[in-house]
Amino acid sequence: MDKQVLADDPSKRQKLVLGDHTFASISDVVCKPIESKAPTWWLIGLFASISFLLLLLSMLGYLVWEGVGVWGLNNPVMWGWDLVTFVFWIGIGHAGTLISAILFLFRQKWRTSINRFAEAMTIFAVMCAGLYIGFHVGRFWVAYYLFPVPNSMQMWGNFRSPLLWDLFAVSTYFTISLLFWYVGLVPDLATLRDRAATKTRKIVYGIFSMGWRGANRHWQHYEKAYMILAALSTPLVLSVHSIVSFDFAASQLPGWHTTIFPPYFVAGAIFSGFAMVMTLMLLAREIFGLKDMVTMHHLETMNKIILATGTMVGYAYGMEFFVAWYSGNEYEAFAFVSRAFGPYAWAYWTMVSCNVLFPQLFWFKKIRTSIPIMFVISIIVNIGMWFERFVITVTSLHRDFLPSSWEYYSPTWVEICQFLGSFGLFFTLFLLFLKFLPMIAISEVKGIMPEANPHHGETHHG
Amino acid sequence: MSQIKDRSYWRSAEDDSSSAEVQAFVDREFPAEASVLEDPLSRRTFLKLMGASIALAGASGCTMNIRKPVQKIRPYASAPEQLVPGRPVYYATSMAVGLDVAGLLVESHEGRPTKVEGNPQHPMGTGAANAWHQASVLNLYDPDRLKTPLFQGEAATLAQFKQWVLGASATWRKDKGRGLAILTEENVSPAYQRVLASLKAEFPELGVYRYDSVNQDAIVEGLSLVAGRSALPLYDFAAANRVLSLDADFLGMDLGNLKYAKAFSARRDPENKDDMNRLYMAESHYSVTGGKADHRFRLSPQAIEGLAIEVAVRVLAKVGGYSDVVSGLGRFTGVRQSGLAGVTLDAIVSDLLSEGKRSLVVAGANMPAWVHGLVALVNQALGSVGTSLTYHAVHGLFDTVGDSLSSIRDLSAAIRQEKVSALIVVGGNPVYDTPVDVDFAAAMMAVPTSVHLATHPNETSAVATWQVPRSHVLESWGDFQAIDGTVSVVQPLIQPLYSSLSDTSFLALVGGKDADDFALLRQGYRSLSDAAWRKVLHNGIVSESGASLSFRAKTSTLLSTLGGLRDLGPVGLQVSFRPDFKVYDGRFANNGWLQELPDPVTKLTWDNAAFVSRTTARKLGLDPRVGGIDSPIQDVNDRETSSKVMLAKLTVNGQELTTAVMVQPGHADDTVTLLFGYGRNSVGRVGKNTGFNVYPVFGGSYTQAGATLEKLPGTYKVAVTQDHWGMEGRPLYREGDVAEYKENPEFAKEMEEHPPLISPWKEKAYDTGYQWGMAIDLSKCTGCNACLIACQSENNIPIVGKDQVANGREMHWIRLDRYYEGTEEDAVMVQQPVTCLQCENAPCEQVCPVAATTHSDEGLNDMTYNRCIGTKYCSNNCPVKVRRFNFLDYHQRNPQAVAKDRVHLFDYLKEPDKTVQKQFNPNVTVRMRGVMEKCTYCVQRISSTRIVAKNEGRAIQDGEIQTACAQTCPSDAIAFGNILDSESRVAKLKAQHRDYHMLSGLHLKARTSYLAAIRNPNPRLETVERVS
Repeated sequence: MDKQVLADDPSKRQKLVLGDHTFASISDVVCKPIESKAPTWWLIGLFASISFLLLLLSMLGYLVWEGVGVWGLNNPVMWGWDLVTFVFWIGIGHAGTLISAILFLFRQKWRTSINRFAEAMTIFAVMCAGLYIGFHVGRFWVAYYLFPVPNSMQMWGNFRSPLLWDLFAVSTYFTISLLFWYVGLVPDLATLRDRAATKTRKIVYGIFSMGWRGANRHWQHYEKAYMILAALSTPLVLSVHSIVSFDFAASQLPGWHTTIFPPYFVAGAIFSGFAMVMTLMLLAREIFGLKDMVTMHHLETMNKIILATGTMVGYAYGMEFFVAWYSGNEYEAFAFVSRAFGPYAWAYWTMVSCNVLFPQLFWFKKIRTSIPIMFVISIIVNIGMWFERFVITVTSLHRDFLPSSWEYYSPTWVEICQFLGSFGLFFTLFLLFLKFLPMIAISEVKGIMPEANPHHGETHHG
Repeated sequence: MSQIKDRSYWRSAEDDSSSAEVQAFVDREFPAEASVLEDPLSRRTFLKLMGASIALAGASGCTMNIRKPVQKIRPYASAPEQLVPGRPVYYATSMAVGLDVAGLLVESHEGRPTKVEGNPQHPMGTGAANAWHQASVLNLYDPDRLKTPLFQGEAATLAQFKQWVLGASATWRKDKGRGLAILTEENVSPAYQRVLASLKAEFPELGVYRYDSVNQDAIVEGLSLVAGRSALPLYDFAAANRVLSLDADFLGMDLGNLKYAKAFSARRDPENKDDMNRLYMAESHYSVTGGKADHRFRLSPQAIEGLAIEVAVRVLAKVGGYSDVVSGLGRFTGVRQSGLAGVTLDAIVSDLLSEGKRSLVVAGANMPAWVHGLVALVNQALGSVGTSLTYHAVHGLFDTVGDSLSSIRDLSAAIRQEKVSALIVVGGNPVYDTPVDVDFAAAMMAVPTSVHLATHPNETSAVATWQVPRSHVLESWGDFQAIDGTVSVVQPLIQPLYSSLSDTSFLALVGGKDADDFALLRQGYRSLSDAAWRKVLHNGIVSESGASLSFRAKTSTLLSTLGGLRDLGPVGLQVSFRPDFKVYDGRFANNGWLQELPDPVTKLTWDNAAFVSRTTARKLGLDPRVGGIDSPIQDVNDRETSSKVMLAKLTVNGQELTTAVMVQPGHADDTVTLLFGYGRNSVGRVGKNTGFNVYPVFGGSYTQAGATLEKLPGTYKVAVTQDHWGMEGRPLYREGDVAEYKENPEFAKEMEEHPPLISPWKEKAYDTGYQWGMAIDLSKCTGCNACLIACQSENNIPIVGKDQVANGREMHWIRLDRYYEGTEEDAVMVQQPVTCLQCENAPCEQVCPVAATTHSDEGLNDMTYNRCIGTKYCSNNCPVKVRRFNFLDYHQRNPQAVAKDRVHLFDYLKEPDKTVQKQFNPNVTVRMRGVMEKCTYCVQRISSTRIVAKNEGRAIQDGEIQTACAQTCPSDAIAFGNILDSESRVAKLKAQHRDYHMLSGLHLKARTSYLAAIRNPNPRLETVERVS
């Protein structure tokens, strides 16, 4: 084989940062939104987000005050929009760690311009998810029974319950993601501290940058810590959604009790996470003028991942039907036929078209590189993935073993408002992040610029 | 006895009803500001409460005492004998609904009756009680009861009423009772009838009238036609091998249902030494009896009359000796027709004849009198009198007062002729339930003085001058005589809660005597020594069943009646009026348990509706569904069978009624069934805004022809607990016929195929101690719902209201799954009680993250309410969906709930009314919102019996522990006990061939198993059906 092809010559690769950027200009571009006055659109956006956040808080207050009966749940369908939205947010929270950790370990350098952004999204999405899992219980005030609190009664949780595994999986994932995000932020916070024009900024960024001076030892420790955290979170990327899928797969309900669930859920989570990163990234790229750092190459790569994971999800849909038929289990077969042709057929076909059909358009390079189309598709995928969780959760429950208990489920205004409100929480946090933290990892982007190469500027010796 | 009367226990000083606080409390919460079950999603309420909470949170910090108030528990200064605090005491009493008397055994906790059971010594029930009896305890504590006498709507004291009535009585006495009329509802109390007779003797010109919208008069009149004297039949279904029922719901609502269910179900066992019986049923609306039939024919009321004639002609002709009747009936064979094929009729008749005296024909009380006369002739011809049928004297008021309908018409006429100056109404609700042509409201208002003795304020008391509170049966002394002649005692379980009078004391007052009901009762049994009387009180039975009448049916009067019958010709749409399974004639309308009880067939709660067949609905443009008319049940989508139904205008006899219309599988064509008892407008807070009042189109006859039904714009929301009709071909309810069973007794077990059930880990053996289990015999279960109410009253289960039921949130721990099989029009109904199956491999336990549901060593799937945080995961993983979640605080949301009686930050929160709280079983936790609950096999009963057995150093005997459902089951379909004891009833049932586990493929190892139902169809008819 030709040696030239195998050699990974960085100079031959596509440039990850376009334009005529220097280290200084990168810092300037990324820090500009933080250091300048808040633009009007940001204030309007924040106001709108906080309004929705308040809507969320009042819905939660109402919920705790009156009981979960304010939702539309009923006897067979004991989980509805609460669990659907929980899984939806957890899924979205998947892309961040994948981009940060797995792509980091695989030395996918293009990740540097989107990882911070994706990680922030992860953390906020997991917060939304956590909120749902905390508030979906009937007695919120004793939800702490879930934790293994030492007590004189020797009452412990039930370690056989997937819901308990889920709790640990999500909280671990959240903790690691937060640490990972924060560790990555430290050099950039120091940059902000050094550039700070006001005393408050100096003090606040100073505290959070933990005395970072960019010393050699600092960098050594930083790199090691970052590597360790990346290694720790890599299995989590796979485990957290696998365990979320156990909530369903470890039960005996037809439509839930499926061995395909863990990989299927993970693929779906990456699918939806990338779509959400895409949606937010396209907006930020436009607004903050980050086109040099988030290039079409990035976008196209992400679209390829969306196409790949979307196809996996489509395969899973098909496999579910095949296995339902092949197993010869009449209840299982009924559950799937009922999904596609029963009272919730509208939800099923919404899901299939959003998740399977639309991403297939990315086979065409023209579509894959068209910003408006990819924006629309990313939103369609998000809608589709919400419906996927709805289809799994609700259609399986509403018609199970005994036809006597079958019942149709529809949400109430409380569930709808709470769902909208969770976007309020997400966007409030996200807008605050955009305003006060560097949305692109400054130090990492600098690290992949040609200037960072110790041999930069040297002439090749043939 | 007097010891019982003298008891007055209290829990706190506030309970003492004479105190000022209680009076104030009574005034405050009286239903003037009645609220209906609130919409749980009311924003307005939420904002109000939030506002209040903030205000109170602020106020509590500075001015209010946030400690709980001091409540003192006082010991008995002299403890009543036999009373051990914490141990219930049982007293025998009885209750009557119309002529139907049931002996009861009532559980009392520290002086509070909490739970009604059947009295095993009473021959009419032998330990069973039905839903009405079970729910009657809630009526006792109903806070909407009439609490003090009201004079022209103003509160008065009982002393004031007595003063008035004694004064008035002196005047009546002077006039020999002229101008005085007494209207009474059916009363089978010998003591009551004695007081009434002495009143009549003292006031010779007194007019006595009676009225009940649901009565047995047609049967009595029909038998008078042939026997020349009034009588009522008493059936022995244990002795009947073949039964033909002409619209008689003898397993459901008809007179004697408890006794009949027990006897009938004993013959539904294929292992019974007398073989199985066979039931032919002709009815228009599906009943629980129809569900048990081996052959059911859906016929309009007129077609059932035709069937009576067709069967009579064939039987009487065959037996011989009735040629006059046979030829007299010949005239009708062309007009009144059942429409059944000749071969079918021949098959039925020859089957009846082949069993001779062990055959029985029964007719429902809604059939006209001549049908009952004809049926008596047929039974006589078959020879069943004395074998499966005896006749007994009528113990009600028929003999003294006459039939209900003429009596009320006479009274109405007398009032119009201004012959009545004072009207005394004892019980009943004639303003609401009399036929429209009587116009009793106007009549009653025309009487200068009227007095109504009523437990609850109702339509009649609303127009009465004096409203007098009537004591509940659990508060009074009395006696009742059942159709078989058994006299049972009524003894009070509690002092009257309010200033009320029992029926006998009230009548005595009208006669000028202020006597207490005990004295009036004891007078009748003066011959009994005190020792004998104590035995009566202990057993609840005064005298055993009386002798049957010698009965010879003659044909002459019947022939002349038949001669007078008009040919009906084409009758158009027929209307059939029936009592409601839940609220009967409306008397139970304010009973939340009964309102929320799903009708055994339609599964409708909180409402009634007009029921029609799909064909009729389609014809009248009332069918929203597209697709074939007679489609298999499988293809009927549940979205089309429930929630929103059409509204229609029913016109009959020139009267109009707006009602909801529902399509009922297996309903007769060209017939509309209307149910009594709903649409009450003067009713307590629970019964408000429920259903449609059908009395405005009721003309006195239970069947009316020539009706029209027109679609109205708009829909009506109904709350149905089971939307889905079919079983989707799943082997849940398993059934076979006798031939199949004989061929392969294990057929039920073989109906489900599954892979070998291998456990990946070592399973717990559960092979020592007591291992509780249950067996439910589907062959016996009728679906009568008695178990459901028994469970509700035993386990403090709240009602949730119509909106919540409509959203599938009813809380019943045991439910009756009703499925239809076959096609929609000729549907076969089956009933399967489902409660927690207590799986050894319980899927719910596996998934609870906080271990709130765990397994006990005795094999129970326990639920720890304190530990439950309400993730609802257990319910999702429950394959039979028997877990019930407290989505909201249903006890607080009850329309009768009151503000919490304590000074506290959360003072604005509610609690059940003080009187309703007395009904609660103290051994069962009252669950708050946010926790899951479910059947526990009545673990409180297991525990208390275990304690007793342990103290006595012995093992628990079989039958010593009965779950509430098993105890009350009228058809003995449920057995509970220790499955390790091979001699126990449950173990023996489980050893039968028919025993099977539902969803056994899930390897649940459920402790509740079912015995497959067996039907006994007529092979000749089977062939006919197959050929056609």
